Amino acid sequence: MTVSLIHAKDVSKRFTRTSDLAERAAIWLGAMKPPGTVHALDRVTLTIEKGEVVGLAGESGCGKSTLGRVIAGLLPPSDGTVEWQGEDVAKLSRAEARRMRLATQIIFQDPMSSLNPRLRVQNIIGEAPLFHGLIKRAQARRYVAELLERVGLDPDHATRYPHQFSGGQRQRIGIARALAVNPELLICDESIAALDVSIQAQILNLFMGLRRELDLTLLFISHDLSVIRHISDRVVVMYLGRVVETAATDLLFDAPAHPYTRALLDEVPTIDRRARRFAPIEGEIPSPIAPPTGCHFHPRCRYAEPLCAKAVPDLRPVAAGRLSACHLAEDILSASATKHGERSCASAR
Amino acid sequence: MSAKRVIGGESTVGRALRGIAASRKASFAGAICLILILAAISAPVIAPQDPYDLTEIDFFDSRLPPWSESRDGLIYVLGTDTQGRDMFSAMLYGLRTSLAVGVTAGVLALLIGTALGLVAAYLGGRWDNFIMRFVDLMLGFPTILVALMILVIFGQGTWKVILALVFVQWAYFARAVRGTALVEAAKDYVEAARCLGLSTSRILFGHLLPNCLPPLIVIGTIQVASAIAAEATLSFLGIGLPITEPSLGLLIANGYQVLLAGLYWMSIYPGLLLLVLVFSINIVGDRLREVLNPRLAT
Repeated sequence: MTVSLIHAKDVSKRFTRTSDLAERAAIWLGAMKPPGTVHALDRVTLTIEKGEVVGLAGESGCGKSTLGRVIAGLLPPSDGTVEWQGEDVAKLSRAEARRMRLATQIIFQDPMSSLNPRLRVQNIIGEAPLFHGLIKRAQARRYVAELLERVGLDPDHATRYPHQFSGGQRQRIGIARALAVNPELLICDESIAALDVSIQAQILNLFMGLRRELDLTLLFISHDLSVIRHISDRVVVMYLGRVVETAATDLLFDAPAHPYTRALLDEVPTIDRRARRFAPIEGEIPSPIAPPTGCHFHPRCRYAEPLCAKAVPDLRPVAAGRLSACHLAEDILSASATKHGERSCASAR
Repeated sequence: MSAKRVIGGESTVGRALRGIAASRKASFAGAICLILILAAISAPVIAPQDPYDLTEIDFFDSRLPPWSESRDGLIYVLGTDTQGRDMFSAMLYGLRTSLAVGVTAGVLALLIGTALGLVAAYLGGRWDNFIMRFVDLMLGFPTILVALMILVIFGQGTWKVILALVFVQWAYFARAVRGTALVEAAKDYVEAARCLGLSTSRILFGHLLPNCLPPLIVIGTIQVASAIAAEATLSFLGIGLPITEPSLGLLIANGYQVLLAGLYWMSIYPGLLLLVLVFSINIVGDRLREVLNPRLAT
């Protein structure tokens, strides 16, 4: 069996705000409640194989970005382990940890704030490889020019400042900066969400091209299901800090095996369904400080049974190559499959 | 959008200079500052008399009013003091001392305060708490009181005055830098730098610091003015600079003793010069604040 590029095992991440002296006094006197703990990630297991494109979907605030940062090594997990090519990241030696850190790069959402406004493009891109000794100073100019060309920018613009570029161009600079340290895994954290739709397609194509040329692995975090469907080989759906479903893209979009995924897919606006009224998922997304008991989704779930409020469903295999964290996954899956059949018939007519 | 571009783009210094040039008041004040600085630097060349050179001073010329003529034909434009020194020359040298002390103290306080503020903002947690509580403590005491206590403990001397001024001023810089750095540190480019494995010092001084410059320039300017004023206060109270290096404050103090005798020029003219100097620097500083960082309130 080959070793996975990244294997996050039972990773939890909790954020607790530490109270200062005055607050502690207030809590002690009963004038204030102790600050709650946010469970951003709750025993998340995620495996990424070399060369694949994994789409990570979910509502805002469900822990997608936190998972990305834990995998990138920017945040230490509260519990659980992250393995990089079979080795526990927390136990790596300094040099290996640095190599792993460089091998995982993030492409950020907002191209306005992700580039240092006081640096020229050549310094933004060239700083890290120079700092780590990947290139020599004499080569820097050519190296930066090659990278700019690779992401579709004019190498002559290397001496400009970020504000002289458009949003899409800045995002390309951000990608070039990440590529400069020869990463193996790119974590695209809503990387195209802040761009115009026409630019989104260009950047998506750039990602796909780079993946082919450089043999990259992508973790594509997005709330936009159509984008995920377009780019991913496999999709991971998160809800309130937990992974609720994992499946190959086609399988998941054809017949979801979790009520949440199903509800999400029903809401994707498509042209052939424009007459239909949208029925949003009922209720608000619950607070991650006080999540519901049992299955986090049960208060909003159409299929919820008494068991769902009591027992936390495990993420378990429900069919070949698919995992679902729902007590009723098999029923949902067969219901989805039938419904999908009806839908295909309807569109055929 | 265009405003955002300007903020992101131009160099801070370019923006500051253009901002000063755009305001008539600020350009006037800036010109005065420049003239005073040049005058202070070239004091030995332009002063008619070297007030430290006792051979040039004629005791029989003491207490002469402005526009009096000395016996060897020199005109005392602003009169002479009780020792017979030319007031104009003494003021030029005093300006030199005041500016040197004020700028040195301001720059040192800027360096120390900036480093501590950056560290507090970036490391957060315990470091942040420790540094900022100390800053609060410093800002809680009146400047002059703390400076007085330090000078009483350590005694007089130019460097001790500078030390006292640095000690009471670094906290302003630390607070301002921390505020800006907190905002900047939350931006993605800092996270990107961490992701690229750059060292902490490189992130602090290569990425965060350049983006914290605007408030630093503003506060630096204003703090130089207040350092000069504080030094003058200390000298006036008689515990500032030693008498061998008269600053404007010391000149005012000396003239004050004979002010009621009608010899107004010995304290009024140095006082006016001090006023013009501090006032001009403050106007320039205010203008810089408008241009560089409108939301800053100190």
